[in-house]
Amino acid sequence: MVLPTEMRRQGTVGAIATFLVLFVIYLVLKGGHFSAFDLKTLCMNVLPLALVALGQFFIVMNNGIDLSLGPVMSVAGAVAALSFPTSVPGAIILALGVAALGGVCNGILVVNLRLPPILATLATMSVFQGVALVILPSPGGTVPSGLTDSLTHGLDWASTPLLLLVAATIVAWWIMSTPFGLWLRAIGGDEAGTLSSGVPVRAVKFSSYVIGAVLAGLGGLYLAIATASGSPTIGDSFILLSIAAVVLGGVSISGGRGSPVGVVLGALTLTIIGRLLYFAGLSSFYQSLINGVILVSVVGVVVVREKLVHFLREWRHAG
Amino acid sequence: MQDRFAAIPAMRVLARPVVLAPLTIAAGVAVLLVAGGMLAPGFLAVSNILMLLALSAYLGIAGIGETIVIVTGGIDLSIAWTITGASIVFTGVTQGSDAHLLAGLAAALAVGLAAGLLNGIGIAKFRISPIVMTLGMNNIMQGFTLIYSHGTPSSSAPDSIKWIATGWLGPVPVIVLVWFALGAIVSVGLHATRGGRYLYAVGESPLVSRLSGVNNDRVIIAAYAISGLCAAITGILFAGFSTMAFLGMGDQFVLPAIAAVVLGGASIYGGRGTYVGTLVSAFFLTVLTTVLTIVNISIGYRNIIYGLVIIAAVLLYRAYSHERE
Amino acid sequence: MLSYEAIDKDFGATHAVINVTLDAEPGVVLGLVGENGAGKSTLLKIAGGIIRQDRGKLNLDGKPVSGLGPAGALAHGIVSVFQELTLVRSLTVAENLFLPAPPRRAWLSIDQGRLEADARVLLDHFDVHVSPDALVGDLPLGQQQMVEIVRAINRRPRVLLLDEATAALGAAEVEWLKHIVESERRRGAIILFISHRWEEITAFCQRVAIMRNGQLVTVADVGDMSHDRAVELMTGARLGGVFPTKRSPSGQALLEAQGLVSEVLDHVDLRLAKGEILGIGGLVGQGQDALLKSLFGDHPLNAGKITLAGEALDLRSPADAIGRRIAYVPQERKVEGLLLQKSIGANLSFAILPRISRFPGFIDRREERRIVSEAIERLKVRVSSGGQPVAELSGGNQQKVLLHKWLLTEPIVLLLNDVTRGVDIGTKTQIYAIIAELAASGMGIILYSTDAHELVELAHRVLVMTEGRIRAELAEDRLTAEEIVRASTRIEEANGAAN
Repeated sequence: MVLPTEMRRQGTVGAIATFLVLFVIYLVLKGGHFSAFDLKTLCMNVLPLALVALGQFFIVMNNGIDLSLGPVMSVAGAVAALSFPTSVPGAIILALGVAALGGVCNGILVVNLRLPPILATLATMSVFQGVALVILPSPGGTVPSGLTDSLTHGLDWASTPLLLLVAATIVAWWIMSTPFGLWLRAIGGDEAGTLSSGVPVRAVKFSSYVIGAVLAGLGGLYLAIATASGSPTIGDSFILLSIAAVVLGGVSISGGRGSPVGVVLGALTLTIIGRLLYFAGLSSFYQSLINGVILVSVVGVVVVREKLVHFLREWRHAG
Repeated sequence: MQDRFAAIPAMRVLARPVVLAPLTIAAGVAVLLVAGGMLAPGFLAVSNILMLLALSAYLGIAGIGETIVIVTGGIDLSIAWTITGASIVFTGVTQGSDAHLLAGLAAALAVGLAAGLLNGIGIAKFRISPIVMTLGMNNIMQGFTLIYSHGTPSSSAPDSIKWIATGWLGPVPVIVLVWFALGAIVSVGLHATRGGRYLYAVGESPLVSRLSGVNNDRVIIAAYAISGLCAAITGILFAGFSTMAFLGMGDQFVLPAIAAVVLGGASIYGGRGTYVGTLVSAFFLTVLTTVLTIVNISIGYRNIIYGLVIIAAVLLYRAYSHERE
Repeated sequence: MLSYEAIDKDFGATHAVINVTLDAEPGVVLGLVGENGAGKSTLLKIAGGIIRQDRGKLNLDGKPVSGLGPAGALAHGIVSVFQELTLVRSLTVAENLFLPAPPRRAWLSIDQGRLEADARVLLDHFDVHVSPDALVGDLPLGQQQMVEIVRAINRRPRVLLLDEATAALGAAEVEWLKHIVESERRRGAIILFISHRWEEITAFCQRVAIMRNGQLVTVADVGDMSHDRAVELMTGARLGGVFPTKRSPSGQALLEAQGLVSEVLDHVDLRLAKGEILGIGGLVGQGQDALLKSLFGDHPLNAGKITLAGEALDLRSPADAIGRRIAYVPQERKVEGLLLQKSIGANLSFAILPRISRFPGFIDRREERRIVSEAIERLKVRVSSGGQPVAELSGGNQQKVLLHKWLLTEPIVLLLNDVTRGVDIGTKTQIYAIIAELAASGMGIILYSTDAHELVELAHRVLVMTEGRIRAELAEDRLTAEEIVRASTRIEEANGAAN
């Protein structure tokens, strides 16, 4: 049985379990109702996070990290909002192009100049935040209402947000199924061994930063369209959220193990927690608390399980 | 061949990153001060420089904890809401009155200590990576703070703390004295004590450290505990500075604190660094922000310059230490 | 043909390869033998593109192939298989076999079905019974090594470099490798084969090159070379350090271990007397490492008892062992022993910091300086000061610093893990003298060494380990290098592997 084994290896099973548990609680709290509208809203809410988390995924998979993906979202959204009046397709291309440029900067710093990823992206995070503020000092710009409508509506159970979410997941999954995905996993698992196997390690790492930035750009683009305006700081909260979604998705923070499906589930988990709290009548204050506890527990459970096994073994030997 | 006596011992010492970095940053500070002096009259006045130092103190104290944690090879992303949390608890317990000062201090420090201990235990005993653990703790502290304050922190800081934050003892701002005193304690701790040596060892090689008989777990837990305490102190004092505690007040410290540690010559991987470097860099970053504000550069350009400075500094340090080889 | 012309490589502390000229022809398996540090591995690494020689030329079929880097060497058809594996443990066998270019479908995805099928075909072709979708990291070391070999052969190498590739293989698997090497030979590949088991050299190779202290002593047909003659040429008038005279131990029991069982150890017993130097020998990776570490609290034991001077010990961490005055000098000084970024003085004092600190943790700097300068005196190392970074010292001097760091803890039991590996002759002599002195003063020393001569000259008794058990105990007139080697390879005899 290849599928379950593969899923267990990539940590996806844990992500599925976590999400299902929370989703069931959510359904219960909603009194069992789950309409097409609910589904659409959920997808709309999760799409930006899912996109930027998928971007973060490609970078974390080769043992990197990117703190600048949030600001990349802001820049992409701002560029789009400012350019839409001129040309809609042009705005989209420009926004994604700028995002890719950001990824190239990170790639140069990390791969060519060999700076530690956390440092390089800390610096670029600041730079991109600045760029966003320079081109759009306060929320504004214009987004054609037709665009907003089309991306936030669509058919009942096949709303555009849902379709976009599914499409993004499939594309990411497809990338991981190619040799590139294999190389990515190899680098995260053992970079030295991978080098001696003839894998173009530097090119792969560099690409991962560009892919990550483009995905983040897509997320920022969607955000701008869905909220009908650009905002220079909207991406800031996604910096750490994207990392949280990746970790909740069962991805190892040092790379080599993980799947895009898990990441999207991780993003869904985080989003559902917010809705869950609302329906439980708990203030949204609990959201961050629960986010944090879940995040830590999901990662810590590995060791808890180990210790439990060890403890039981000792107990059996003594008894 | 490799046992030759050093040609010029002084030059070799100078080129080490831990020495070179603070000197470079200090030079940067000098340049900035001169620039500031040309842009604004009175900038170079002693009292103004002291004020700038006072302004830097909060970042400086937050940087104490971050330095220690980074030296052990970790990172603390939770200081944002630990600062805020401790600050809000402090004002909440003291209710703006000095009568409850001790209780307030105890409560706030307890908050910081708890956050730090939990971080340390999660990282050492449960092998959770520092990024993930402290990220999670940041969220937990945010939740805790929001729940405790019901979303609206109200009270203000008591007068004694306000005085510490804004008052002067003769020619010197009190907060600068507090900062330098804490800094001195930390520096002594790092360089003159057994614990300090262990911190560096754990950061450089946990394997060698453990095989030499060190209890790595205890060292790591202690490092994060200290970071939590420093965050709490920062929160307490900052409440005095802004007279009130407010939500999100800690966010502005996290990344600049990390930047200050790295600019100061510490290695992000651990095993190397001094608090002196962080201290000078905290001052540098504060003066940089101030000068950029004077020049009326918008916050956007300020952020860009901030990021570029970090990159330039790190590349510079690398170039120097490679040349030496 | 692969030709080494006047190849020279100097690492500073060791002159690894001295003016070697050697040719390897296709269709002839050339064995390389020599003691540790004789230069065989270095020669292979030069061909594999991992190291670049200082002087001389390396040519393959007339074209220069120096300094290519591992990927470049691969591109020229030069494939290396080392004892250290280069497989990615988190990937499956099939994925590793076809890295970097797995079979693909029309739309660029990896064809998982074909990947597995191709892998299965490959594994079956080579008679390797491993599941293609098993994670490499889950396989026992022997099977990992087999997968690594299959991957190498699948690259259709022009040059196949095997450096102790049989280290993790059992007898049956060695036989398996023999067939593979034979078919590669018939295919016309150039094959270099390093092993320190003579039976393998005679089984695998047609020609053998004998090296000693970095120099090529001779090249001969395997049929014309006997084991004894080879040993003689390998060892020769060894400049292997001057050994001090042995003194007999007091006989008083010091350390005793009974029935040690762990993941690696299989019911190990040993006794150590005061003043005794107990040698541990055997091929690399037979559990010697684990044994030493278990006596230091760094290797979890499932069963067994350790007593020190009659008292039972419960060692859960190195700190416990140090507290009982047991010291352990690790094998990899740069990774396990020293803090390279710190000074000589800081390294020397690191294990005794509790002793030189006053409340609440302040280090008595004056005391530290005193201890450090005393130690430097005894080290007989030319240093500018105790403040010099330890990374600047030669390997031999680093080893001395490491040794002294542990001597400063004033141990009663000293565990030494291959402490003279990669150390120059002069330093080796000094270390031997120190060891003998320590034993004479009553310290119990357990000395694991991959150098059989060292064990013979230094130790009072030698325990030879294979597969986690003590295979033989050698003392007095049975304590010879031949006996050690014979006991180390006895498992092969027991399984009746033909020559």
